[in-house]
Order: sequence, then structure tokens, then C-alpha cells
Amino acid sequence: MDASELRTDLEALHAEAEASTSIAAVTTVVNDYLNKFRSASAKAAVQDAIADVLPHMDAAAHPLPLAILLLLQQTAEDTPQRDQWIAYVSALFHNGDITKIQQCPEPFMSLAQMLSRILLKCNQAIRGVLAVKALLQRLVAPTTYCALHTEFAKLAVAARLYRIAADVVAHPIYDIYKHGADTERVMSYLYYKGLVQIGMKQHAAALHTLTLLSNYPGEAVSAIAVEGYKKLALLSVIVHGRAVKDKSSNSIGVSVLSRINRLCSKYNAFAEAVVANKNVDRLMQSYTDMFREDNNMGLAKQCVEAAKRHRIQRLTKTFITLSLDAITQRAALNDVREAQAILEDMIHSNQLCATIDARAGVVSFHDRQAPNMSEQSLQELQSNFQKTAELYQAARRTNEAIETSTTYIKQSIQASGLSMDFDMATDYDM
Amino acid sequence: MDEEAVRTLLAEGNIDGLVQHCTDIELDEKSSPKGVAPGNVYLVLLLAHLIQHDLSSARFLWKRIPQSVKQECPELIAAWQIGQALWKGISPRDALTAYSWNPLATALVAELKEAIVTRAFKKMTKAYATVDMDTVLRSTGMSEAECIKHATTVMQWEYDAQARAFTVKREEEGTDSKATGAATLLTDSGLAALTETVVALEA
Repeated sequence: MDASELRTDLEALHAEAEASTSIAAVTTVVNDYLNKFRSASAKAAVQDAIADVLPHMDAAAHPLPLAILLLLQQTAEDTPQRDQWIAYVSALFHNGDITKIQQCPEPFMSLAQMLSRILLKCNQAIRGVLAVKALLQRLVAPTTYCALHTEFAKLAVAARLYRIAADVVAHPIYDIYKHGADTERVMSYLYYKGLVQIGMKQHAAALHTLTLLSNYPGEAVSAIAVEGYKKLALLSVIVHGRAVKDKSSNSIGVSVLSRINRLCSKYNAFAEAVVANKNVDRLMQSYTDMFREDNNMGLAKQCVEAAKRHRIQRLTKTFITLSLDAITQRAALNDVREAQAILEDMIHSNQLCATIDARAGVVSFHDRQAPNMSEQSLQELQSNFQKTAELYQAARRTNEAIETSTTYIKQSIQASGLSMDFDMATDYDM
Repeated sequence: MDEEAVRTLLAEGNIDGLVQHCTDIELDEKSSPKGVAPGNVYLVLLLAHLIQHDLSSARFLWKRIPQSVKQECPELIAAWQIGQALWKGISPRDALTAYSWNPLATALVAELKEAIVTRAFKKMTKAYATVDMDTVLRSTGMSEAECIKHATTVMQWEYDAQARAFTVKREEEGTDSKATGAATLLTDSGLAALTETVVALEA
């Protein structure tokens, strides 16, 4: 195959795709075309032709043929061709005509996965973050999940661009864009979202995300859910000062808990030890390798530190004033200086209402006053109203879709034993 | 990197803009081939994160800077020592004064010093009735003389030389009529939105 043949093919394909009436039809056209190049000889012949054609392709006007070429092109690591390939993908994601992309999104999802796989392999995830984010934001609303969310979060975590990722993952998900989305990808997204929130120290939000992940419906416990649960077990201590097994502090289903617990028993044992403040050092020592292997060492250390804060917090319920020495002793802290530093931090972050008299070595705990409604908190309240309304609309749309689904109606009728023929039902209307 | 743009943003006190500017350069393939930015971009970004006291972002930035760039740019290592001191809650004084910074970094480090002092005094004002000199020194990174001068003049704290401790002047908690007015307005519209949501959900 030469470049002119390939170009003619692509033009024909593009015309056919544009003339197709549904996404399914376009996908069939594209898949048929891609299948033509499965054989080794065809692949070799097409590579040279692609290299000739690519510089003449217009990413903005003809995104689909360009996506197909980029999916077919093979480039070696650390070569100018590879850099060029990344630049083409980036330009395509930033500038490709979005209505044409929406007509046939599958090749773009595959391209994003390919980009992510290639960049992760050569440890250059940072090069793909903005490109995938651009396509994601152009393709779907912020509250709609699409397969690109997973690739974006994966790249952002690997590139340690948590701040950029935090803006995207902050949006709650009400809808799912089905093209390219499957259970594994949605679960992976929840896992990476949890990682981003942990990185940004949004522990309560991370706990919520990983609870969703652990509760994700499935016939068996997945490896992703187990990894998520390990972090969740530590987060529960950080956020609530309680282990996950304590029913009052979590919303994990009983059946999920019983299945996952067996696989994460050491994490549960550690969390319980930290809460009870017994054998923490010994367990930390024996579990160090496991925490390192699971990339949970930092979280485990934060867990121990957070438990100290929860112990101090509990003292405020009993005492009005307490000496720094007594706080150090009762909260099992290392020394007065540590107590002072933790208290200072807790007061600053509004976790505690107290005043430290360092000269007298005494701390006075105050009743927590109802916080004044600041402009910021009111705006947050407003935004939450808005989110509730959006969620309601999404739930209503889903409900309508289910109620009008032919499959659902057929199955409901069959389940109720009526066994009604649809054609007959139409006859009755006549 | 456009040093003039950095200076302008710094002069405006627009640290968010500074972070955005440096992040844009870092993520632009033209200025950062293969995702590796020039050392001075990382330096400015690191110091900007520290000025914002966004220690998590500073730590993640430090982790993503390639080893080769760290070796070529000793100022980066010096800047991260300030970050480490802040992360560990120890005095940043040594790290702040140990290095002779380039002119652009000098301006940023001066801004960082000011941000550390402002934040530390704000934190202590909220937490303490009386506070010992060592705590103030550790939090602010100032010398003892600087501490006494700033605390007694700017913060109007009282200093007891014998006890080496300050009596903290608490911030007065007054109600701002303007803010209260805005709050009432927002509460009304917020309640209206809530009512609409509840009505919609009940319908």
C-alpha cells in the first residue's frame, strides 16, 4: 500500500462514516477498516504510507481518519517518530472537531488508552495529562463519567500532578458515557480518585470515594476493591478515629465487609491497634514491608498521628482545663512540645476550640460555638443545593430510561407471569 | 522562562497566577521537551507552592523533578530544605539563610519569609494566650531580636523578658455589618433554592 491509496481509503471511510446514521454503524465501518490491517504483511506496508500521509492530515477537520492512522502507527521508544506521534495525539485531542468525535468516540478512547500505556511505560506520564484532560472536558459534562476519566486520573497520579487532577475529580458523577466504559474502568477511576484525594489531604472525601469502590456491586471481590479497602481501613482511623469494623463509622455493606475482611485482616488488626493504642510500634515494625509494598506506608504513619489528635479531641469532652503535661500523658504523646504543636495545629484548623497558656503550661478548652455562616460556607451550601438538583434530574432521566426500556418492560411482564405479546398489545390499542 | 512575567505576578501578589504560569510552562512540550522543564521553572514553582503553604503540592513537585535537573540546579535542593523544615514543623531559619540565591529567587524567598511570618503569627494569635520565645522562633524562622520587634510593634503583644514569653493580643471578633448583609442575602436565595429542590424531589 502507498500513501495515495491510503489517503483514498481514508477519504472513502470518512465519507461513509459521515453518511452513517448511528454510532453503531460508524463503529462497524471503522472496525471493518481496521481489521484489514491485521496481517503482518499489510501492517508493514501500511507503516510507510502512514508516515507519508500524517503530515498532511488536518486534525481539526478530519479527526476520525487521523485517529485511525495514529492507532495503526507503530513507533519505537525514544525516537523522534514517537515524539511526533505524541504531538499528533495531543493536537487531535485539543483541536479535533468534537461533533465528529462524538459520532464515533471508540477510536479516540482506544487512542487515549494507547497514549496512557505508552507514556506510563517510558515514565513520561506528564506528557499526556493535558491532552486527555482536554478531550475529556470537550466530550462530556463534568458530572458525566467517561473512560477518559480513568486514563486522565491514572496519568495524573503517575505524573504526581495531584493539584490538576483534584479539580477534575472534585465533580460528583451522576451519569455514565457508555462508549469504552466498563466496570473495571469505573472501579479503577474510583481508586485513582481516592489516591488523588489522599494526596491532597482530602481524607473525608477519599474515605467516601473508597467506600463507593468497596461497595461496587460484583459477584466476587476484585483486586481493585481490595487495594481500595486497604487504604479505606487506614482512612477510617484518620477521619473518624475508629476502625472500619465499627459499624457506627462506616457505610460498607455487611456482605462486602465479610468478604473483604479475610483479605485485609492485617490492615484491620493495625487499625484496631492504633485506635486502642496497643502494640502499635510492634505492628508497625512487622507490617513495614507490607505497607511499603502496598504503597501505604505514608498513610499508615498519618494514621498513627491522627489517632493522637482523636485522643486529644476526646479529652475536651471531659475537661475544661488540663495541663500540657496531663495532655501529653493521657493522649500518650512523646513530650510536651509535641502536645503543644498538635494543639496549635488543631486550633488553627478549627478541629479544636481551645487556648494554650504556654507560660502556665495549661490549656483551656472552650465550648464549640456555632460557626458564623461565612460567605464561603453559604456559597458551598448553594453549590450543594445545585448538586442535589442535578442528581435528582439524573436519577429522573435514568428512571425514565428504565421505565421506557423495551427489555425492562418485557422482562417485568414475563416476571409477573402475564406473558403478553407486544404485537398483541399493539393490536389491543387499535 | 519569562522572568519579567514572574516579577510582575509577584509584585501583584498573584501567587495563584504564578503557579499557573509555571505549570503551563512545565506541561508545554515546546518549553519542556519530554516533560522535563528547565531548573529555574521548577525553582519558581516550588517557592510559589511554599509561599501558599501548599506543602503537599511542593512535595509532589519535588518528587516529579528529574534527578538530573536536581543535580544541575543546587538552588532547588536549597529551596526544598525550606520545604522540609516547614513539613517537619522545625524552624526554617537555617534553610532560609543558608544559600545565596539568584536575584529572582531572592525576591521569591523574601516573599516566602514574609508569608511564613504572617502565617505563624496568625496561627499563634488564634491558639495562645501566652507563648514562649522558643515556640515563636521555631514557627517564624526569625532571630530573637526580630521576633521581639515584630511581636511588640506589629502584633502589639507584650513581652516578658524574664520569662522569655509573650502575652498574645487576641483578635477582636466584631461583626461586620457589610458581611452580615451579604450573608442574609445569600441565606434567602439559598433557602429559596433548597425549597425548590425539596418541592422538585417531592413532586
